[in-house]
Amino acid sequence: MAIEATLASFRDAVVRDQSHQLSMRLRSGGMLDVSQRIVIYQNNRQQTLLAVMGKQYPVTKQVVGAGCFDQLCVRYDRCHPATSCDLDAYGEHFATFLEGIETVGDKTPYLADLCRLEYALVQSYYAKERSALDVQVLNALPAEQQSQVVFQLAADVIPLCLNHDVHQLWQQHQTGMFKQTFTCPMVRTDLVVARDRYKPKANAVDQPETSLLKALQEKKTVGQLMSSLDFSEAALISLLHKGWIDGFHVAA
Amino acid sequence: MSERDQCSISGVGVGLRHEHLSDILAQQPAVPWFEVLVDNWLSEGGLDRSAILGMAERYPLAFHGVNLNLGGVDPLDMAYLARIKTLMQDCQAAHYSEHACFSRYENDYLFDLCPLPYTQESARHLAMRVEQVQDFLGEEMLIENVSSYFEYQSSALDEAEFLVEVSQRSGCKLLLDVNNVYVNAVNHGFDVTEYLQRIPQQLVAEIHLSGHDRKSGYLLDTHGTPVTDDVWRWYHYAIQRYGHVPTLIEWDHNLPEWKILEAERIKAEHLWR
Repeated sequence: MAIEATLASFRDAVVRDQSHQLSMRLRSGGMLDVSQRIVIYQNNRQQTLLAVMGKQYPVTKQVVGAGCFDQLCVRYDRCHPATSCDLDAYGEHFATFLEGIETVGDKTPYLADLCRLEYALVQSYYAKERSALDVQVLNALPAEQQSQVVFQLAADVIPLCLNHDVHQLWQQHQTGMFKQTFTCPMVRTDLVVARDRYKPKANAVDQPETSLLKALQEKKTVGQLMSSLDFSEAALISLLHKGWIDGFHVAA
Repeated sequence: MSERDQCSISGVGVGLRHEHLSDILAQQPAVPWFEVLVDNWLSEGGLDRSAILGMAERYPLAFHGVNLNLGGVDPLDMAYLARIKTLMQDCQAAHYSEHACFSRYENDYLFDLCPLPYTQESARHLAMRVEQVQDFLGEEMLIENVSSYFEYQSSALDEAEFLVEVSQRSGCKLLLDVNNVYVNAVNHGFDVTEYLQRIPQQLVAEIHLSGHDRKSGYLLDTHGTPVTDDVWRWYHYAIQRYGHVPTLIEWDHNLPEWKILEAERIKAEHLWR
């Protein structure tokens, strides 16, 4: 189809900066030349992505400054172009991408962890509603099946294991107390982002809960959990009480 | 055609944006309907989901999308469309509209409303995909004209002819963005009167009004400023030609306070009456 070749040339011009094929397909005339007209679309796309990244990572943007942030986002787009039209999910690999940039790591070693926290807060905000854990069905399972139960974390519950205590930095931003000179201590920080009614919050968790959350993420069965040396029944009850576990299935 | 409960819309509405939600829910202004940019409200839970259902209890809603890639050559994303269909049912939305454009090619997302060549082949292609959407939704949809900054040499039809061709082939209605018509008329040097006269009265089911920026050598469709005097004049002409078509004030960037949007709506309402 001729239309397919036209759309491909548009994509090449706007995303890959290869405008030759599209230029030949366009009418000339008017006050703008063909290349100026193509630049409008290149700019539109870039502005949309910068706006999305700024919305996903507002504190990161403030920490590095808008100019530097925009440059990083442009580089990020080249390495990790969007794979979905769902812009709420865009920027998923930004933390890992930043870890690969030496200058960022030298000046702000905590930046990737800050991104992880910001991204988790956004994903938690948009996550589906929790369903009530059906305790009656769970209790009715035969004993041999109960040991094969795999608990499921609610979609808005996102455990984070970070190398820097970025939560304090993030909170300073929320209260308008952010200082550009802030330094972020390098200390192992276990957090769980979870929605409190509608608002996602970062919650500190203790060691037994952290271990249990990790095991749940690894889809371990109840039998495997209970045979683990660091299993804490209190931690399991705590997660159930908080509503962070909202489903289960029986492993085959 | 439709088997679901759906509201009807009339008069001049406003495009719902997150930033105005708390004002709207608190003040419950006398706005006859809101248009929902559906891509911003597809979350499965949380505040947005609750808010959109709350809005649907209070106001008639129409749904408008930007990400379907309706004119593209990649297969339509039926999972995305299914989420829209479910939300339309939940909100009893009046209708669903999308743009006569493409926004993706293969795995590259363009995040813009990119113009199609206006050829018979494109018209057949777009009409076929509109039919696919309508069959899936079980109802008629609306397609909207987009702003553009260049024209393809291969375009054998003008934009109005192209839209009418797609509408007549697929049975869809048109969402006429008067600002986009004006922007394109300036950018490509055509006559707005001729454009509007080529579109039969019965095809226009909704009108959009928005603002643009005047750049060096062209107009940029920003949806980020008040409706300009030129566009108000063409809206007046359009209302005389097409009758009392539901009209929307659409503002996406540099969002003003709610009261400024409401003032724009009232201005449009005076002309609408």
